[in-house]
Amino acid sequence: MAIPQSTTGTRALLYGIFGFTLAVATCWVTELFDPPFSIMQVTIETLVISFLGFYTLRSMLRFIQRLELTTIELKQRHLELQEQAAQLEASRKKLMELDELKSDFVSLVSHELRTPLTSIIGFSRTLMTLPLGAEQHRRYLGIIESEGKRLAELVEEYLDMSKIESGHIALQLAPVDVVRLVHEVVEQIQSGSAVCIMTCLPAELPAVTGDVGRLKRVLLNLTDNALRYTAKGTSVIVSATAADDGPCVSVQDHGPGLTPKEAARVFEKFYRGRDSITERSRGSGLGLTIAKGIVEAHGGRLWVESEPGQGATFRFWMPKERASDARQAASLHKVHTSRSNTEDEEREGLPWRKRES
Amino acid sequence: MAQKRIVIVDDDPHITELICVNLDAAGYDVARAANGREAMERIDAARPHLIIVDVMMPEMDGWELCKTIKDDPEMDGIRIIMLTARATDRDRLIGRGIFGADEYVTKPFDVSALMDLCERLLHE
Repeated sequence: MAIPQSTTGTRALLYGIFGFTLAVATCWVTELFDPPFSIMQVTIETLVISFLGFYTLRSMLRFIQRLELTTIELKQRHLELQEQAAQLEASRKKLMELDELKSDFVSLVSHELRTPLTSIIGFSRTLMTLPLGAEQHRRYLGIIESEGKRLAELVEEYLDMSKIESGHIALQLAPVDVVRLVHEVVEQIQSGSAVCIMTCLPAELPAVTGDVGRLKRVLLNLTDNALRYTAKGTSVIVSATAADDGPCVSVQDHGPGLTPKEAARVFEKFYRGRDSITERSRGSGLGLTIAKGIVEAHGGRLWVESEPGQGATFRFWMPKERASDARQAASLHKVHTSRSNTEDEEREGLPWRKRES
Repeated sequence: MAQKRIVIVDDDPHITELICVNLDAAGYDVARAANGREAMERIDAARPHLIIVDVMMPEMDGWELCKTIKDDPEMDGIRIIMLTARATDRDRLIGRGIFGADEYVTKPFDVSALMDLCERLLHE
């Protein structure tokens, strides 16, 4: 804030008058002690002294003005610095949160990887050192194999997750028969589960364009999640309906359901619900996050509908295959058919397995 | 000498099986539990000399179980081995320092080394 010019002028004038008066007074006092002074001498002395006084005061005034300006600048700078400090504090907090997330991730990943490794290493050692019966031998080899597979799956999931997060998920697009895909997934999961998986599917659904391997992963993850929260004797229902803009697939469980708060967090990485039936925190903790990431990479949507005590339904919608996609897929099909007969036969058997390479 | 009793607590059935079969072969009387609550039942019934406990478990976790046992004067003398995939120094410090575990073993562990450790703790 600058001092208004008029005030400065007035002040200067006041100081001038003050200086002049001071000079006159000085002369008068000097004259008292030293009478022979001419009028001329007194006037010159008075003028010189008053000018000196005026200039001194004016420079002092300017100095004060500068000081005031500097104070204002300093205050502004201080405010700016405070703002910067607040920004730095915010980024520090964010970095710390990220760091915490990272260490959570590392400790969870290491936990999930260490557990199957323990079985693999431990049972191999046991097989080498203990005299075991043939049946036990076979069973332990079976455990080593299944834990090895689990380890491989985990690694695959972590890689998928990092691809989804970085937005570098490469989809190998081809027309996908959703009904067929559901049947295949249910068959695969049902064989190893005590819970009944029921399906409710129309004869056919509009084809979607997608990466069949990844869409299968979505269905596997959703069904696997449903099984975790469904008690023996009850069932999981996988159903599909056709909307105008594309098919919608639902996986419904009869578990404890989700509170709105839990539903909001259920797709978060490493989020685990309460009352898991399996009572074991197996799995990567990424199943639902990956499923949502894959569906969204296809331009679809995945969401959950649930109420506490009423089970949960995870639903995903995929956009219907567009004519341009169909043409693209058809032209690719042509390219493939010209290559070899075996390839052609394979494709005929499993038309929805066609991959764009 | 009477057979020493050991309770193994882990929510992963493969791990309990692994330790169980090895301890069995070494001549111990072994009981299994899948979580802290089940473990307390086994401990009350069997009065074990040693407990091998996992940290991350549903219901009652390993820390809590360890503290309950160490705080109970009636369970004085029960040795505890914490067996966990949590391998940071901080966890180790918490396990031994705060919750009073006698030993802290990280997964994946060497089965023979674990057997030696049990042997040592039981005969100290």
